[in-house]
Amino acid sequence: MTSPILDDLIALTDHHRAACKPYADYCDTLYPRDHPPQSLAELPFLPVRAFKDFDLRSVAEEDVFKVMMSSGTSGARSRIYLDRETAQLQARTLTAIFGEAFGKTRTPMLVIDSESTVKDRNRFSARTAAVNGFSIMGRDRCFALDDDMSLNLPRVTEFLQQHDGKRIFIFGFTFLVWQAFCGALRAQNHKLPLENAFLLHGGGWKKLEAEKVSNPQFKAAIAASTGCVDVRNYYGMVEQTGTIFMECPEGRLHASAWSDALVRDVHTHAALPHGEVGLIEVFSTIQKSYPGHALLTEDMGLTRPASDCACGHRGVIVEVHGRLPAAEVRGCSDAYN
Amino acid sequence: MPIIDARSFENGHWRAGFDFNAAAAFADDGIQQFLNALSRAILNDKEARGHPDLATFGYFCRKANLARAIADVPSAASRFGWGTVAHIAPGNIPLNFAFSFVMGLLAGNSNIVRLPSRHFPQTTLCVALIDRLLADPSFETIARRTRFVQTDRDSAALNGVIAEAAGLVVWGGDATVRRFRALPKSPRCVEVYFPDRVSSLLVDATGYLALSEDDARLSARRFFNDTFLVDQNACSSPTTLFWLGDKADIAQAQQRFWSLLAPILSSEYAIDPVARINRNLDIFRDVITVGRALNLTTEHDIWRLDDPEVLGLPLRFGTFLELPVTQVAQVLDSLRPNEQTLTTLGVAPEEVFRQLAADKRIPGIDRIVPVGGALDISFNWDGKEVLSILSRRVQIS
Repeated sequence: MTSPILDDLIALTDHHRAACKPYADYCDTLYPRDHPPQSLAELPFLPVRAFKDFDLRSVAEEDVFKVMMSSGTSGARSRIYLDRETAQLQARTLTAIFGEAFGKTRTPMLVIDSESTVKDRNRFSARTAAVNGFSIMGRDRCFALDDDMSLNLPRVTEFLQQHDGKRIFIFGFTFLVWQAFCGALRAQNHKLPLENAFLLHGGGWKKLEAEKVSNPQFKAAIAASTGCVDVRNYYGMVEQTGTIFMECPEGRLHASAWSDALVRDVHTHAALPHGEVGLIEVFSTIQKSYPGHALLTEDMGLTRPASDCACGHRGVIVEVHGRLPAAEVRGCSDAYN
Repeated sequence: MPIIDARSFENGHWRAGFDFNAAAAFADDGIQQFLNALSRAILNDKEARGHPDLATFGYFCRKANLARAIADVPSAASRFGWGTVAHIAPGNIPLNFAFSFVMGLLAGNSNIVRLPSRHFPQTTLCVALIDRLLADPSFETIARRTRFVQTDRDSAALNGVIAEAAGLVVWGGDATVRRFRALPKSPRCVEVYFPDRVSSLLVDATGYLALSEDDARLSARRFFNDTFLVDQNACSSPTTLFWLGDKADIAQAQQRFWSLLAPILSSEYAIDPVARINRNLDIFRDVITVGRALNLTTEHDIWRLDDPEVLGLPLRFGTFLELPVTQVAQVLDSLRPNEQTLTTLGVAPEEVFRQLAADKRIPGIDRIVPVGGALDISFNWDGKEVLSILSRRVQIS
């Protein structure tokens, strides 16, 4: 089955080949242009780490409007160059996907993070980008956590009293929602009246895997301490801001109208059919200022056809299982540790 | 004595009974008897024989091999160890520590050997076999001059040992070498460093095409052992392939060579998933460095480049640069400053050396060995006569 966005992605590949010389040289080396791509699998892709190692942009330097950075756990950080057009497209797309899930009304927003995360320019991270990115979906933003990541219950209570009876948008990184919010409420044996709220969380389960928290357990714990039952996860990355994969009411992550995904074999990089586990490759039609429209992640997982889900969403389903473990390479180069 | 773990090493109790200033005569009888016994213990141990690298080490310690090495050292009878030599072995090679230990011991030194940080069964097994022998009262003096230790990366106790030691041997990695070079040492400390090196293969197309099918198949196996067995990441693993001959012969030889390697790779080798991604990123770095697209052949999942401008860029995980030459001496034009080993196929190492060194030319390499021998460690390594360096020669006249 061909992807509905294949033509857009082919056009984007041509655009980036024309506008970003390193990208063109890379594609010309690895993907000889003997025939046009017939499927997503045949499109040239970049390892997502390329943005950590190289400066890649398809716009003139003076047209760079904003540089997004990923959180660098091991030092290197992705640098994503945005012009005005791409930044706008990202915001517009995010708004559309968000609106589809939660409605278009902007509601008071409770951020499960500290204000310093978005204020401190030296700590610019994926969390900063995500909190700021989603803030346009809410209003009257309140930060639930203090700088030391402890829950400020009086501030949250005051915020909820202020907006009594209104629908609340809760946003946070998965591990912070679990540890700093749910965990703190449980420890204090406190319940917040958030029955009328919806919670969006993302950033990965990596830190929770050690605690073996499943998505249903996560949801049950939120419902127990807040009463909130509309809890959605999303899968996304700073290298493809905007086109997030949103969890549907049935609990599955779907591609949007502007994105798609496939899975590649970890050993051969050959595209795999639905249901088989490999490396997740994500596609986005809106990344114009840098060649980030087809990215091979280092996340393991699988895809399923949209028809597998009763929710009716037409986007392909992605299941994320976790990160590819670090390489243990043999040989004798610099191995003192 | 068992392996001294990081905590016991830090608290220093291990020093009780260790002769820090003791040394012995070069390759004295006790040392040779111990190494002979070790060789036998390894080669008679069923589990040990199951590890090819441990078996190789067993052969390395054999009487005949040691006798050759000893005969190679001038004035062996008037040589003695310096005292305690500290050995820093790389974290990702199971038995490099053992070879380093034997070099230090045979030269007459006391040895403190830092083991690889990663756990390998053959490392543990090798130390256990050494331990068992050292418990024998006849090897008591060697036991008092030997310690195998694990340490943290920035161990104060290790830095202390190095400050006091008579000698230091550091294997692997420019960054590691820089780190240990910078540490304070005794003014008389003898230091041997093995930094990052790169290596190549020279194939004489005519000679290679003349090989029987069986021999050609065997050479594919040997090349596999030189490269893929260690993720093409050892100093001695070839990254450049020089093809000697005329155009037609080279094309035919390449075709034969790579297609014989393919079945070994598909049945025995899987590139690590992260390494596979790194290989793509390496190519990205290469095109950025060179400034244009490269001609890349990806047949059989072996990545082959042919652009001389790639020379000097790191090639890993099954990526090779192939360069044609019409004369052996042309190889000299394309050697990198830290070139170590030239393996040869279809032509004898002696002949290659003769042609490289002809007309007063300096062959810019430290080793020429037949294909398959790239990783065979020897007492003469990286151009250094290790036994000579690690022993003190008394001048008598």
